[in-house]
Amino acid sequence: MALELTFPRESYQARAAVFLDIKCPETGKRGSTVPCSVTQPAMVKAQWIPRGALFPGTHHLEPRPTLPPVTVGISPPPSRDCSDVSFTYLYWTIHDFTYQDPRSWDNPAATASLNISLTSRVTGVCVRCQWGQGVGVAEYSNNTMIPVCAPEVPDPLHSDSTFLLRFNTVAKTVSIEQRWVCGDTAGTYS
Amino acid sequence: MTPAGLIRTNFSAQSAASNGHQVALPLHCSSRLCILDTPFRIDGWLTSPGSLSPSTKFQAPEGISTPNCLANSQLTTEYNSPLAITRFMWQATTAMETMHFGNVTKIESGPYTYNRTLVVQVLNRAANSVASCAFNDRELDGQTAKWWPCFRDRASSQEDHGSLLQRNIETWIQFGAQAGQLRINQTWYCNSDDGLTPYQITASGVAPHLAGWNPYSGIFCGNGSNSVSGMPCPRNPVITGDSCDYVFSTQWCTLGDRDGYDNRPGGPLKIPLDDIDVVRLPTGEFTEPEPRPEVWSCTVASLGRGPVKWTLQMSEGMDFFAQTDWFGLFSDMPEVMSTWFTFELNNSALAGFPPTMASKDGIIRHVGVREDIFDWIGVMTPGMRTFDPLRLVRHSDFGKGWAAGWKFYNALDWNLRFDISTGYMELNHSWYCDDKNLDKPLVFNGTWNGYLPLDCMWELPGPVTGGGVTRHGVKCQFSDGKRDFVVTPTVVHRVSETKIPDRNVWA
Repeated sequence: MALELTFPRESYQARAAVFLDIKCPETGKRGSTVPCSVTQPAMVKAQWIPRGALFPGTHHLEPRPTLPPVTVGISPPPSRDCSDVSFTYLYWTIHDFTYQDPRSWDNPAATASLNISLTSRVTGVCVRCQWGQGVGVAEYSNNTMIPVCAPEVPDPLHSDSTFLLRFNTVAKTVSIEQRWVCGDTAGTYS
Repeated sequence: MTPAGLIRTNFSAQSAASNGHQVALPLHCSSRLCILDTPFRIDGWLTSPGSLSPSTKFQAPEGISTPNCLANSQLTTEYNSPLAITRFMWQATTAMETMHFGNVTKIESGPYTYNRTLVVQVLNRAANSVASCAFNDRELDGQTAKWWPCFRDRASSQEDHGSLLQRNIETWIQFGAQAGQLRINQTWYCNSDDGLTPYQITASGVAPHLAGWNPYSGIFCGNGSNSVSGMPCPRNPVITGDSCDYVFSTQWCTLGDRDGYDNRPGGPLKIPLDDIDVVRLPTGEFTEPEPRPEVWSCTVASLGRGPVKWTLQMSEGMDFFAQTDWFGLFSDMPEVMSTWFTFELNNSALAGFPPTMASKDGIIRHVGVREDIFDWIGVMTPGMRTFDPLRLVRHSDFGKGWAAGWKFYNALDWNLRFDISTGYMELNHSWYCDDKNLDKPLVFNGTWNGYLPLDCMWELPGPVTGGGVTRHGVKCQFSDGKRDFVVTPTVVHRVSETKIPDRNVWA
């Protein structure tokens, strides 16, 4: 039996549609509990009253669009996760450096050369970066050499490291950029 | 092909110098040749996945450089053992309750355990360190094999998150009151005599004279009782008397005189070592240790573990996510149908928070709306004139006089909007991490909006034992009987240029 209950109260109204054998008085004294009798206890799946249905103009929460999650995946898993050390010991060690500039008034055709070997503490990658001596497509502009870097030993953590070095031949300064990836060894992050 | 679930993090960094990214090299130059005489270190600045200039400085464990530390650590007899108890106090109080009803009827109950205290201080003479702790846990009432941590870690109090430790002197206590047995297990660290090689020493032993509470050991025991009468009885949903009398009985044992009245000496009580393990650690373990995967890092968990996940879980001991009570079931509340909801927010960035004396985990509890806050009565209930799902539910509105919801410093705040008529929620939560740079913490703000999969059931009011009525009107649970729901928030972060002051969230 479909039963509709209405509570005639001044300050609010609620409504529920249930299939129960309930007996209630149609009216109740204001401020008092309305006595109802139920033949047997039961639970009924509820559908909340749609917002504004009873009181037009009632505030309602307008859903915003939900953005899809972004994930990054790559394989194979490394032997060791370098995530923590990336936040902890972020530095490089230059252990070999040579810059030669044999150009002079009596040898203007000579070309300069640059050799830098460095190791990333984070990934353990050791690269050798060269400029001149016919290596790669070395760039030079504004007194800055951009050497070509290649790993000296295999990438121990499959970190896909790439390096970009700049050496200023006048100020004798160097800048380093590195990109790499770290990940768990078991592939269980979630 | 990418294995399912394998998530890796893209990093990028550039060299950091005081005036930019160009770092001056200490070159040795002749007319046409420049070389580097010695290896040169260039520090970096992380640019992705977060902007961070690491300033981590790990501290070596306490006492590692104490003279003769390694040799003294390996002495095992009671006479020369490095471990000694310098403070010990145990007390357990039971209570008998007599509940009066008028002048005639009374009910006696008990004895039941009223409280207990265990205080232990352990001196390590080899490493010249002291571990001190106090416990008040129900498990101490019976015989237990549980080991209790007696050490601080970096997250155990507001003051401690300044030090970054990969390895800590760890002292564990096992105590049985009935047998009078106290066992100590401690791990500490010593350098070799030349200071180059660190060692880890783990040893355990039993305090020799506690068994049987030997009065000649320096351990003194006693007991006493006192009584109070005419006290208000505790609130009891079944039966409550007019007044209550109590008799408290206390047993205690201490090292030395407990109260200082008769000036008897106390300790130290040396502990012979029955098990010792000495492990040589890699050189540099304490100057630049490889981060240990099992040591939780807030920064790594926030930025280096793929997307942050929030698990919205039904609160401990609750069988609902949201509940709407029938009209006027509480005499002190207006006759509206009031909705309250509560859940636990398990942030994957904080989930690895280590158990401490202050907090057992990194879960944020009591997120939601309480039913007994007058301002909120009827606000969350569809159909009520007061229904206002636009209203922002803020942690700060509910933190006063109630458990703040977390007892660790990383969590900052939460707020939300929730429309129970549709299950739609907008949830914001912020936290910060300072474990990689104490002076410039990373502040994270996460937002999520979406629909919670809720099943709501009407439950009719009816009589229950004790003369009350069932309170539930509508009870909402996660669909399919699940206790939690996992969402992926959108998280942004910024670098705070200053330290974030500790706030008292221990209320």
